[in-house]
Amino acid sequence: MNSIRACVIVFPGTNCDRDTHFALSKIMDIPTDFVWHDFDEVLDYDIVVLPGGFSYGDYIRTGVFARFSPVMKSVEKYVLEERGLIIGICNGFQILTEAGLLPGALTRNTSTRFICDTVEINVENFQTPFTRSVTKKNLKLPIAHSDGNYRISEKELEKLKAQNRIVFRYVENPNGSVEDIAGVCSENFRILGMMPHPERAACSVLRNTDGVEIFKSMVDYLRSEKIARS
Amino acid sequence: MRFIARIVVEPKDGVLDPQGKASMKVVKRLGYEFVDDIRVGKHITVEIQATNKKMAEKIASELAYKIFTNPVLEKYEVSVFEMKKAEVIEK
Repeated sequence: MNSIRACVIVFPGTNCDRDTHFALSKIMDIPTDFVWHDFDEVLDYDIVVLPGGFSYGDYIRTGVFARFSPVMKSVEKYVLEERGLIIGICNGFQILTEAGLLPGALTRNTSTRFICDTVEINVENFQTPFTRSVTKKNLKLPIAHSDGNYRISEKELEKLKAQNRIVFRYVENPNGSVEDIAGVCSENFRILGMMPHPERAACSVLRNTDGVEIFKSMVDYLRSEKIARS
Repeated sequence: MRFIARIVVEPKDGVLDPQGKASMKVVKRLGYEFVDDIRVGKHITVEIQATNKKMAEKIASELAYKIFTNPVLEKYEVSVFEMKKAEVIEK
């Protein structure tokens, strides 16, 4: 019954890979693989996760060296062929913007500090594959970043708004992001980038399972898509 | 021929520059009233083997655009110098 498969991409310096793997395999019960950054073959998965961390030590800029690693070529092909869903969390979001798969860029927080906190985010669009099964208007998720300040050109921002691609907004902006943006998705709604960490709020032992709603949405979407295709 | 390219990366005007802002605070505290603005960027030195200066400039600009800057946030300047014989021998 469970034919959905996921992978977590691991770059040197990624540190949320295990949490993400745990959330997907143990909580969501999806067979999940780790994929190393020099993997250059076909990504035969339904879900690809770019997890959080500090890929390549955040040298030069966050995400820039990861963007040039061989696995990103496979990810680009994966996107072109619309094989499945991609979610970039934290550093993964930064990598996706660097790779040009999502618009905008993430820069230093206005406070200039690393922020580790739990924040509330509003779900702005309930139609995306990542939010369609979310039952709450408001999700409480952990954040942990020093470069989460989302910047985007006026023109691109208008486009995002017109196409309803701003998926999450902070209730109280922690990092200075334009229009309190916490997560955006691609034009075809198959790539999501977000700064908060859903995988860190997935286990009931930790008394917060709001993150599960996002993973559940993805699974529900993929299931219905599979049924529609078969 | 060998060239040295110096790439200077700076945050674009209007983009928040926390390091510059923090430096500014300290500078003011030290009493430098006439300092108006500080922007903090990066300086990258690249050694390039190329047949002529134009070629080296092209390579350096390409690197600056592709890797060392994010066009949403930063701008860059590239200057290329021929490496002096003495410098080459030193290596």
